[in-house]
Amino acid sequence: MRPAWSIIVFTSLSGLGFGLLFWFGLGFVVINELIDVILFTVLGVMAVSIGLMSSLLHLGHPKRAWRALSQWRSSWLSREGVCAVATILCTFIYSGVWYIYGERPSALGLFIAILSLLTVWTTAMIYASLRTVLRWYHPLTPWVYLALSVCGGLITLNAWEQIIVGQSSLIEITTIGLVIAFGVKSIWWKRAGSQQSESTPETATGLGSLGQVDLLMSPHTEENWLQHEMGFVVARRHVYRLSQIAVALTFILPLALLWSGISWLIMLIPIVHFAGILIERWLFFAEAKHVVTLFYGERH
Amino acid sequence: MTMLPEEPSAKKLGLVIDLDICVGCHACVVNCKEWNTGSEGAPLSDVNAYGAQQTGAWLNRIHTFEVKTDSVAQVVHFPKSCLHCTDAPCVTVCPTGASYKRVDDGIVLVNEDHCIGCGLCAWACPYGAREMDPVEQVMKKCTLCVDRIYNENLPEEDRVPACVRTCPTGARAFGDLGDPESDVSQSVRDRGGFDLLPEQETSPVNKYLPPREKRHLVASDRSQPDSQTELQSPDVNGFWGWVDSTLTKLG
Ligand code: SF4
Ligand code: SF4
Ligand code: SF4
Repeated sequence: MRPAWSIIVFTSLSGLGFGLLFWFGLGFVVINELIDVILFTVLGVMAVSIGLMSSLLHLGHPKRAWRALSQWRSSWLSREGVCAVATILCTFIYSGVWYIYGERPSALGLFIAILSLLTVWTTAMIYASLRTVLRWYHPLTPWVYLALSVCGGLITLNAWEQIIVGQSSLIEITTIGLVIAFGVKSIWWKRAGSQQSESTPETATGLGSLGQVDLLMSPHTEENWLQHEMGFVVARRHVYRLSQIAVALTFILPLALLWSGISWLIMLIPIVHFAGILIERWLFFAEAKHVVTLFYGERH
Repeated sequence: MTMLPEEPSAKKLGLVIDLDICVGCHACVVNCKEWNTGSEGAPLSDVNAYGAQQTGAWLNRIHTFEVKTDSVAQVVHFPKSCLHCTDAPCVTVCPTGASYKRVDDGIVLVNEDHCIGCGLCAWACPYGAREMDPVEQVMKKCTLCVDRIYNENLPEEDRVPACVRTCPTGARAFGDLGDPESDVSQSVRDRGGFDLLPEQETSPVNKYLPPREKRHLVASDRSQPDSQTELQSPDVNGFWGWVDSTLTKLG
C-alpha cells in the first residue's frame, strides 16, 4: 500500500494525542498550577487535531467530511470520527470544569480515558478489518496501535514532568510501557513476516484448475490509480534497514535515554520516539500488500 | 446507509462473463467509458490523455493472462468490472453512506454527492473494481448501467448494460442471477461458472465461465504437421514469394 504522509501523520500524531488524553483522564498528569490543566489540554488536543486535519488532507472532498460521522453502525472509519469528536468535546468540558472549580471531575476523566482508547482502537480497526490486506487483517493489529499510543503518552508525560517539576516519577512505568509495546510490535512483525496468503493469481482468476496463471498483458500501458494506491513496492534491503532504525528510535534509544538521568535528554525522548513511530507507520503501509495486485502480475 | 440489506435481495442482477469467447478487443471497455462519461454522475475523466503518463478512471478493464496447462500455454482475456458482491465489503466500510447496495436488485452504487473521496472502499474491494476519478475526486464504479437497464426511453434491445450490448462476441451476458431459471443462471450451471477470490468471502453476483479445453492444441498433436501448421507457412510463389525470401534473408 502506498505510504501516504497524510495518513502516516494522522495515525501517529492522533495516536500520541489520544495516549496523552488517556493519562490525562486518569489523572496521571502532574499539575502545579491550574493553568497547567489548560496547557496540557492544548498539548493533547493539538496533537489529536493536527493528526485529524492531516487525515482530512487525504480526502477528495474535505468539506463533506462531516458526513463521515453518519455510518458508525457499519464503518470503522465513521466510528473513529465519532469517537474522536466525542473525546475532544469531553476533554474540553473536563478541563473547563477542572479549571473553574479547581477540582478534577474524575468520573468524566475515566470516561475520557476509555474514549481515548476506543478511538485508537477504531483507528486501528480501519486497517485491521480489511480482509484484502493480509498483513493488517489480524486481531493483534489494534493492540499494537493501543500499546504504542499509551506508551507514547507515558513518554511525553515523562518529559512534561521534567519540564514542570524538574524530575520524573514515571521512569519505571514508562520502562514497562516501552517493553510491552516493543514486545507486542515484535510479535506482530514476526507473525506478519511468516504468514502465507491463500490468495494467488490462480484463485484471483479462478483458472488455477487449468494451470499456472501469469499476467501476459496489463489492461493499459500506464500505471493506473489502483496500482499507484495499492501496488507500492519497497526494496527488501530498505525494509530491513528501516525496521532496524524504527526499533532503535521507537524503543531502544528511548529506554537508554530514560535511564540516563540527564534531564534534557529525557525531555528529548518524545521526539526520538515519535520519529521512530513515523518510520514504523511508514513500514506498516509500505510493506502491506493488497490482494488486487494479484491481477496485475504479482504473486504474494 | 452503508449497512448491507438485512436479507440479500431475491433479484441479483449481474453479469456472466465467458472467458472462452472473449477475444480481448476492449470494445466493452471503450463503450462502458463512452456511456458512463455522459451519464448522470460526473464525467469519467482522463488526465493527460495524449501525453506520457496518462491516467483516468475506467469502470471495466481487460487483463490478459497466460495459463500454463499440462500441454500448452493458453491465452485468456479477462474482463473485470464490479461483481456486485452480495457481501460487499466496499459498502460497509464507507463512512458517509455514499456507497450502498440496492435492496431491490442488489446493484452496488456510489452517491457521488455524498462521497468524500477517502478511497477506503477501493481498499476494501479485492477486485480493483473501484477507481478514484482523478479530476472529480469521487469514487467511480460500474453501475451495471442502471440508467440503461430500466430506461424506457431506450429501445428494448438497448436495455442491457453498454458493455453487454457492444461485445462483438457475446462474451458478456446480463441477467438475474438470483433466479435459478434465468439464462445466466442456466449457463453458470451448465458451464461450471465460478467466483473470483472465493476465499475473500464477498459472494460475488457476477460469475465467470471457464475457457473450454483447446483440443486441437494438445501437445501430442504437434508431432504431426496438421492443416493448421501448413496454413501458417504457405508456399508462396511469384512476387510475394520473392518478397518473402528476401525479407527472410534480411533477417
Ligand atoms: S466487486 Fe468490489 S466494488 Fe464491486 S461490490 Fe464487490 S467489493 Fe464492491
Ligand atoms: S471514497 Fe466515497 S464511496 Fe468510497 S468509502 Fe469514501 S466516502 Fe464512501
Ligand atoms: S455494466 Fe455498464 S458500467 Fe458496468 S462495466 Fe458494463 S458498461 Fe461499464
